[in-house]
Amino acid sequence: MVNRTTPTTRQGGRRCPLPASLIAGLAALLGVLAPACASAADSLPSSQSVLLLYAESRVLPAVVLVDEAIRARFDAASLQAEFFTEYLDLSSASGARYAEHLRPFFLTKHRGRKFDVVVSVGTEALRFALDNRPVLFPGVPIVFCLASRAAVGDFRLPPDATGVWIVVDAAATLEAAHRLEPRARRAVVVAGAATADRILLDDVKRDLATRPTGLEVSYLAGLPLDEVREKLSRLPRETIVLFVTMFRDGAGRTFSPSQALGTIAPSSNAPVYGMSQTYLGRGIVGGRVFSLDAHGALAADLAIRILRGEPVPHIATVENPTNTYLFDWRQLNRFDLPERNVPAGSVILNRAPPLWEAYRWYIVAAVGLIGAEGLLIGALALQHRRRRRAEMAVRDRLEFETLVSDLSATFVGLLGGEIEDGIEHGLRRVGEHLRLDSALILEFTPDEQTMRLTHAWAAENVRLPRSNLDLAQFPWSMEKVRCGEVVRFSTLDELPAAAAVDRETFGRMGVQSALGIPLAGAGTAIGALSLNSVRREQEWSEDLVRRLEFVAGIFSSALLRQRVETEVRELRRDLTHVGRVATMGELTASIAHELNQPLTAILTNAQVAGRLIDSGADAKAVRDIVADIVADDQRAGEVIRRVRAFVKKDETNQSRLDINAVVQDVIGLVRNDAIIRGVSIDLDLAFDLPSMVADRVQLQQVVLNLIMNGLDAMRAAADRRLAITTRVGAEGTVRVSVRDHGCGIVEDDLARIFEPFYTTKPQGLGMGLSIARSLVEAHGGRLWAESNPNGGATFTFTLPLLHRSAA
Amino acid sequence: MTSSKATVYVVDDDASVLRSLGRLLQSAKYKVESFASGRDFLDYPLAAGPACLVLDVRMPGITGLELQEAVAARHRPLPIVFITGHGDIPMSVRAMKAGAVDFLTKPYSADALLDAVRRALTLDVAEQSERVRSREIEQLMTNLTQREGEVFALVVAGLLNKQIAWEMSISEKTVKVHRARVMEKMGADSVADLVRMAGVVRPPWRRSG
Repeated sequence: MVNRTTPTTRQGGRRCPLPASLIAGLAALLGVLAPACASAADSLPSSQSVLLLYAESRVLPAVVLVDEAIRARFDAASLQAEFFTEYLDLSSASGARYAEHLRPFFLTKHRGRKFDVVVSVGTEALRFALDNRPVLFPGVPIVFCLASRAAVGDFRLPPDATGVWIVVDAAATLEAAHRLEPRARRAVVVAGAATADRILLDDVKRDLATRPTGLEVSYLAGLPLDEVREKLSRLPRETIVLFVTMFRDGAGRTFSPSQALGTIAPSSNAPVYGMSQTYLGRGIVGGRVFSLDAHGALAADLAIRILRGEPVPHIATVENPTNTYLFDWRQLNRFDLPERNVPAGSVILNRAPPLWEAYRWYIVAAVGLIGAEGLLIGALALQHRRRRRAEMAVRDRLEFETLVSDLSATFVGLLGGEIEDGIEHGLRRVGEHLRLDSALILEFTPDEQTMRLTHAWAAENVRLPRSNLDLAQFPWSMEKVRCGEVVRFSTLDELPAAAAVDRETFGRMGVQSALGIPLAGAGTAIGALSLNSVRREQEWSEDLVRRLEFVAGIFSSALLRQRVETEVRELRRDLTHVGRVATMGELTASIAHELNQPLTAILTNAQVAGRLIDSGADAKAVRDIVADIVADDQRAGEVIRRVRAFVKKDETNQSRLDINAVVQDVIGLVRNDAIIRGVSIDLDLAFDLPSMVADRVQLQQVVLNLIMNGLDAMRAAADRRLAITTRVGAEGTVRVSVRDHGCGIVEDDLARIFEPFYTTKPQGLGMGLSIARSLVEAHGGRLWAESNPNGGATFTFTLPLLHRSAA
Repeated sequence: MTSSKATVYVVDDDASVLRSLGRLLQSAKYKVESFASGRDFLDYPLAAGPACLVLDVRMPGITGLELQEAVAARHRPLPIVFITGHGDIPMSVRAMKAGAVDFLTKPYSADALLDAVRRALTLDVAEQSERVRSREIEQLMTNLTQREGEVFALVVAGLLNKQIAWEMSISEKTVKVHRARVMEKMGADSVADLVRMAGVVRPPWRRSG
């Protein structure tokens, strides 16, 4: 999830994960002049530790911008700092107790680590830092940015916390919009349903309350995305739409806000305004925008002052003063809004055609007024060219940032199974944008002798390399990648003497220019992003490499996420399997009985048949008996098949099924157990249940665990009845309840019974309920327990009919 | 006893076990009545003649042991052969104490089951004739006067005439008269006969007063 990086200061050494002896050997092999990373690491001065705490996901465009700004400031200050980064990803967490679980995770991960300063980004990250500081990093000063002053409350700030408050210029934005569209009477403010959305929306409301704009303001907050789009499409053209943020919509879907904006803006009939830098180019006309770079830079400066020894109580908090009016030329044109009406000092982006359209009247006037004074015209033209060049640079950068934010937005929303396609798509976008010939992801194989080509894009008529690269062919490049360093050359001649083997290999492959960026894993490189040009030379500017490192970061986090998800899936599969085997163990008596019944009938029938044959009875009677024997044999086989299917260790297997049939299957397994325990089972199954797509074995396991739990709870009960109910639930869900008349659940245990290894039974493993809950949640459902008013407990789970499984 | 007149009631909730048992018992020339549940059996009137019950101990609804008690209350005590797929020792002890003829574990052999049924029916015949005899004696006893009943009780308790006279505060001679009447009314030839009769019936006359 998170990786540990050292800043990419040019003068700083890098840590290398390889043993020093191996490095030394390689260094000797490559010659004394080869840059050996281990020796540099040895002389690394003791650096200070900075914890960067982001409220949101790593791949959010805003997070990328802030992160880039913070690190750039540290680089510029030449401060030796080791960064540890945590992306709390609070807005996309759907489990209610996610935040609680972060603390133990955090404690385990950073045990024994001493931070010198914590930099929190976002209101919720600051809250998390303040709430958890006594346990997680006692006494460490906190620097924050992008935090809402009203939401945190000044009074909560301890003296050794300082930072940058976010300033939401909603009223200024609406006033600017009003000037562009004087006929407007109404403004509609759009915001999402996540906590982060509500915090910023509250700031907007406060700002509008203190600075009335004369517009009638209404709010579309916490609605499903589709509903928002539908409502906006029916707005009169003279309305002003203000998009705040949308990390989650009312239907529970999560987005990056700019991704949500990208869907909302095109369907709006009225112009949309916004206040985040990342919204420019995503469909907003403009607004008084807060600069994320500035937040990152200001926070970094405060942190640097603290690290240099300045006492924190002397550093006052600041309100970010850098908000500026930014407008998108294309959007102004789309809605026919007069550019002359933008507030003084506004910056207009995306101007196209950039020169003539903007300065036509200056030029015409100059020509008309001064006529022959060509010198002045020349001066003007020169100025235009300069402006134009600046604007081109800005546009190029903006295009790339749009690409990066597109990419990161894509990965936020991707499910485990879609990551593969997402990466290939990303490679194509990068490759096409830079007009390269191939863009590849290579991953080290476990033996580290080869690299496997796992994802690739190639331009037309460009041949891809073989799927495995022998590292012996690229010894110098691979060593650098392994040490976390970038490999780049515009021409083969740029490769040093030590890279002779590499040069020959690249030459054989016809590669002219190449860039290799390591993909950072947990403390070590897992592979490389490899960008290649065959047909022309490609310059790799410092700035471009830096931006591509962010792209590589997005890829590696996606790859890591995929690896983690695979591991989690395998672990969960093993665990649920163990759970099933354990439950089967408890059911052996019941299963033995299920087998014994047909075996008894078979034995008796066979012996009767023998007697009938001895007594010369007619063949008809014997044939009936034989038919019964066959039927009973099949019945015994069915019991064995059911048990085997249940304990089989298998990949998940989604199929269309009827939840009532699942319940009845399980009843077949536990029926005899219930009888032995003197429990009667009442089934109340709704007849009108729609079928659903789910994993049959997993749902059987859930129902079985709940029933076994109910049976165990009634061990000492007088009234031993277990009621199982199925019903159609709210909004396309199915609800299943298991109600017992047992000992009930103590209030204190209600919250804990679903924790792994928590048990109130003398012989329990404490896994049953925990497994049941994780299986239900894997199906997008919910499982909870309640105490019955008249004794006993009821366990209920709901399952959505339509579910895109993450498993 | 001829097995053709005997009825075997079979109760098991498992249809194929029930059918196979029915076949087995029919092949041994018994009249078989099969029931899927204990309640069905309780609602069914018993035929005359010797009978026994083959019963699965573990069924949903009413357990075999509960059924055993209910049968005795509803109809008449029937010898029961228990069969079970899962016989634990406490359960079998309880069953045997409650009068089970046998306790067979599934899967049982045909011979073992038929043997148990045969013993159960023999027992039922014996118990039934004893019950007939008991009813006859009870009938005879209704002819005794209060005084004669008291003398009967004291005689079978082993008291001498002299002791009885003292006990009842009457003369020995009067005791002899009562005693002769008792022997006559009961159709007994000797005191030993009287004692046997007293052993067969439940003692309603034991209300000493």
